[in-house]
Amino acid sequence: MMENKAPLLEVEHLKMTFTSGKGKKKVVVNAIDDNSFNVYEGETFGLVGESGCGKTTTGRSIVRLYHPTGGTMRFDGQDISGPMTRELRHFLSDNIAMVFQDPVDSLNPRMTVMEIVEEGLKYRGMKNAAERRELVYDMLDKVGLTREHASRYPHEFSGGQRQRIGIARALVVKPKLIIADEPVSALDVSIQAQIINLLNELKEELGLTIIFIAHDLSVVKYFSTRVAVMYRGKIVEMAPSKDLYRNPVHPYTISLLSSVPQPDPTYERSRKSISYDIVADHIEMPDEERKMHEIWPEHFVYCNSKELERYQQKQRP
Amino acid sequence: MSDVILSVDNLAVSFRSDNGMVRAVRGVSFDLKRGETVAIVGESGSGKSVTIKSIMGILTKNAVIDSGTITYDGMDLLKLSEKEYHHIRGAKIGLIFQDPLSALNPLMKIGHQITEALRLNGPISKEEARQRAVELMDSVGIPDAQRRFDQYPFQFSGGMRQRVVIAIALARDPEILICDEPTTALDVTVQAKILDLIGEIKAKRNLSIIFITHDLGVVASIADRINVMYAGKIVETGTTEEIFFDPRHPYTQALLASMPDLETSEKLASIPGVPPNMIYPPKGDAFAARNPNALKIDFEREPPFFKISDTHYAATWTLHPYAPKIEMPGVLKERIERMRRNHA
Repeated sequence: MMENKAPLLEVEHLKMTFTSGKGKKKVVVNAIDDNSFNVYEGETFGLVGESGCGKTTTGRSIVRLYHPTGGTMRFDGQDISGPMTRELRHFLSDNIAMVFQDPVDSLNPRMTVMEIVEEGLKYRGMKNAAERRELVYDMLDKVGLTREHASRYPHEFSGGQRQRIGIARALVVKPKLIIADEPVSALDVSIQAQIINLLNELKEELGLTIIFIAHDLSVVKYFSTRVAVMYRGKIVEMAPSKDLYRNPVHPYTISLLSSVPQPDPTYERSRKSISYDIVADHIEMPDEERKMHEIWPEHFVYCNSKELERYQQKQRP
Repeated sequence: MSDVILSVDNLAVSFRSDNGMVRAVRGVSFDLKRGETVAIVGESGSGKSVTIKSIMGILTKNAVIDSGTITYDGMDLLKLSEKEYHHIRGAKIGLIFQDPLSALNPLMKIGHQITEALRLNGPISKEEARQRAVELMDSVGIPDAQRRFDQYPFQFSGGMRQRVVIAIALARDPEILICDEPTTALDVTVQAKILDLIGEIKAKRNLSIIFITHDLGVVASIADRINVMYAGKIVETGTTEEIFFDPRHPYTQALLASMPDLETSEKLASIPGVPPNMIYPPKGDAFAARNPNALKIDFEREPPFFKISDTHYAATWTLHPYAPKIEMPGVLKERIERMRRNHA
């Protein structure tokens, strides 16, 4: 269903290593370990994993808050992984915007909502203040805030409203791609649903493409066309959303799914959470190199040939 | 099972603030029976943390207790002096915090933090204290306890730190354990393990547990009874089965409906609006402003508790015999039917 569409974002062999210390004390961390994926226009691509798996680093590498150690990234056909120039910076900020996790830390407490949201327009050289103001009002309206809110400061808002401000700031410059890094994990359950539904509506209305980064598999499901599961810097499984939830293949995905608490006491009491053991779950031919295999159409899993055989034996219901 | 170990009666707590008195808790009553786990579920600002801080006697200075009693072992905890509280806090009632990193001293070895709690029980030799601490670490599932005894908190992962915090709480052998969102800061796979551990130690030590959380999914496995709090009041109380299979208060229903699960994938039902400002607590049913089906009386008079069964009560006018019948949200109805089918 996706092949006929040109990818909006192509990521190939993306690598990001962080080093600290010198000489004997030198520590190298492979935050992103050779990942490739495409994001197609109009889809929501979910990136899921636990803390430290590299999902946030992936998002930040795409907007070039980090300079990737290796690999290439293309946006709309144009290379965005080269050295940072003025043109590239403009290209990126015109097309890609981020929504951050913490609605408290990501808004400047000394700026009014108007100043926060219009900053991106100013940066893009929109000199007419009245025009800017109209665009900001328009955007505030779209995210469920009012004109009166524009003159207030972030501390006057609740967590959910602050996240709406963060979304308005990201969308006001009309980006093609939104990278939402855990946009709801700091919010209460009832407010979470509001923000998820808002993002979904805006996506339809404005024709956005979204990369949704989260640690919570149950939240991602309401949202994503496709989901990639990351573990220790590596994408271990990638599939259309429904397929991933119905037929998880990689033992890590299975363990992650089995640990999500469900609002069902009978199920919860009988539940046995399955834990993932990186050694015991991969005993077959440990020397053979693993790579991404397409086990079913569009369903990729990171494994070696022997494991692929074993995974394939599982009946696809 | 039947004897009550801790009883909170009509507790009301306010905080002085620049803008006026914040009515954080407005008349909360519940019992904790020996050997059971009671959950208090609510959003931030619902008063659940203030309730347990009142039990522990760790309210901030600007707090005012307006009314109520907390009875434990024949004493009213609210009337105890700070000195008397030392024999209760930690020794009889243990507390596990949300954030295991800020609950531990970063400059002190893990083992020392556990033996510190052990020494509060009375004189104990250094070797014996170490021995006991290592046993405790073993019992909460910290591998290689002998070696890790001499490590610092930064050398532990989030889940292991929470195990240390649990070990410290258990060091004084309390009767009651209060868990304040103990798994919120943890990854899901780690959360599952910590919940298993809490269930295990509860059974082994016959503990009574008060479990605070905003996530109903978390308590589905471990709670015997659930109290749902909104705007400083308990709006519904029942056994876990009653709350999940037969929720009656519109807020409980909305909260359950807005929870993501792994089976449905339609649009999430969201609760419109935001919780009320507790400086000016609303008249009537506090949830009415966010309830699309609210009745006129909801804005005027506070609903009393209506009895649904011996263990199940809800404070909502919809249960009044004259009230019009209102269907619960469709998503929730389907989920409950699916749960019944699955377990039939």
